[in-house]
Amino acid sequence: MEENILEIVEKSCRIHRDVIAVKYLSHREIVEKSYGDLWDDIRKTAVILRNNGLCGTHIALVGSSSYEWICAYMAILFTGNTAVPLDANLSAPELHELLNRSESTALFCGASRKDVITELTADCPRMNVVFTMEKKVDIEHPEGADSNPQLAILSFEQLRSETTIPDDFAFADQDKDKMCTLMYTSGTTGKSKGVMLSQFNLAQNVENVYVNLEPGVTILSVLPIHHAFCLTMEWMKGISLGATICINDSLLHMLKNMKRFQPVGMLMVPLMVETIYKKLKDVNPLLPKKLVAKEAFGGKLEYIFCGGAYLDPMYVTEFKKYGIDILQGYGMTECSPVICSNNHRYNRPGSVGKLLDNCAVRFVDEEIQVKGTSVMSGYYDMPDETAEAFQDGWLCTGDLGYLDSDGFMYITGRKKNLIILANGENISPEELEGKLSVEPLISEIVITGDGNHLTAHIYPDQDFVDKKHMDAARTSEKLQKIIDTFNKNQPTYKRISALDIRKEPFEKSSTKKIKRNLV
Amino acid sequence: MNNNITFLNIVAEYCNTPADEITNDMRFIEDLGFSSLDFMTFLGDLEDTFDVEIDEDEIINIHTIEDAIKYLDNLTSSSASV
Repeated sequence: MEENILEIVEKSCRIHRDVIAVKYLSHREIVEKSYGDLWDDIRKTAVILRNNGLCGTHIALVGSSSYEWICAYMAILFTGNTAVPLDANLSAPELHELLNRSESTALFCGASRKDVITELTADCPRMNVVFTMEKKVDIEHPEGADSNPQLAILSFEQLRSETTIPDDFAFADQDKDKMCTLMYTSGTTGKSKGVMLSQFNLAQNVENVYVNLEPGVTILSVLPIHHAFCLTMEWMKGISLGATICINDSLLHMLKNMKRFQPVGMLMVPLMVETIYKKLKDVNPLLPKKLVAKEAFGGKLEYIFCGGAYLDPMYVTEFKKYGIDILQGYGMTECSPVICSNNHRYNRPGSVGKLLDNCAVRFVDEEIQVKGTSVMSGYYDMPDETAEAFQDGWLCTGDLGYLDSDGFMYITGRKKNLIILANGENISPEELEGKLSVEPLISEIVITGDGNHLTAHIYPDQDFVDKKHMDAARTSEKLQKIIDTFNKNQPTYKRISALDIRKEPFEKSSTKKIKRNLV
Repeated sequence: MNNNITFLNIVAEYCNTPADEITNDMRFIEDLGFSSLDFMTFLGDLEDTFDVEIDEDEIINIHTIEDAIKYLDNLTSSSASV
């Protein structure tokens, strides 16, 4: 069993040298990269990092899934650096805050997020190098970056085309237990936490999830690459199997790309399964299921690994009619991420499968607590939060559940306040409430989640309302305006879609905390 | 819009409201119950059906049926004039 990611990637690239590793669309044409190409490009990227003096530092990645992203990520790991994958949907100030908190000194930045580079010098003085991940790049310093002559803005594409791999090139021995990835996840404190994972943590997750697929099998990647589920289970696991990973260029084109790339396997969050099902159930029931499957999924789809949120078992039964196995699993970023999973050998609808061999669980007041080789070492620079996360060496998941007599896990609820939307996105309500509560019109606010939607329950500030002589209609209009403005600066999943204006303040505990469970 | 019926039939695929009951002032998420992914997939369907390219940066401005029809009208008329 391989003990680090370098061993896994190097071995697969050697064995599957001529197999297509990645397919993606560029100007409507499909580009193919073999495992041989992938290995060469990872090594070239490593040479670029070394040439820029980047060793033993933290390097962030902001961008959607791309061949460049994964080459950069792997090269960062293998050169003894720590990768910091960030959510490309966050606003520039939010990203700047995470760049600072993660102590990143370099950044790989995707084509769509040039705005992150603006004001980078002022906001992130530690930053030295930005590699832009796009072909035609304007390398001139953007506004706000001029004042820092130390900040180099380089075109990754151009550097790669100019770089050769020295004959004596070799990666240094990997420290498998050192932090290699810092992944930010939402937390109940309102501040996202940096999960510290080592190559050993990740490699153990890759090696212990059972997937029975042949090299060259096609996988369509539709999840955001900065998520642990996508990064570990799609990319690292896919590469270890010698799979061909096709990149979905946009959620707009997910269904079109399923027909185009004809995947055998996909990873999804429940929301995706639900959307596809809506399309399926509109099809004439008299049509043969095989024909419908070909039209909807490309005709080769055999399995969907599903995780991130609860999925109604009905979907497992319904998709089976089209020849597709939905295999549900359960995990969290803190566990690299998979804890248990259904697989090709056993699949019990309604359960999230059996524990991986490298995981142990115990239940304390129904809460699932985990121990194992994929569990993080802690939260970066957050000793208090780390101490809170563990109990006698067991990671407290905050989820409630049980194991049945056959060893299948069932999740029954969430202990935390985190809102888990049906699309798998975790939202810390305190974070959004904190931002909105600065409005003088808002006295008290609680955000709740229902399915895919967020609702803001607001008790208006009565003094403010009286002073401004606002009637109910005017108050409602003004609050909606506040929500609309707030939504403009939020990624889609953090937008509030409903407003509930309360006539009474919220019920509170003796310590004056709002009783959220009563909202 | 000439393609109104086709447009409304696509909308109806994603919600429980029949095409002939969908009105211009209805909001995709709040009134018709679209999820954020339904909405994205729906726009992908519009691209295929009407042979247009949707700019993802513009999506944020589309809330109601009327917004989408206007946006689509602009796209189809500008592609026709090219």
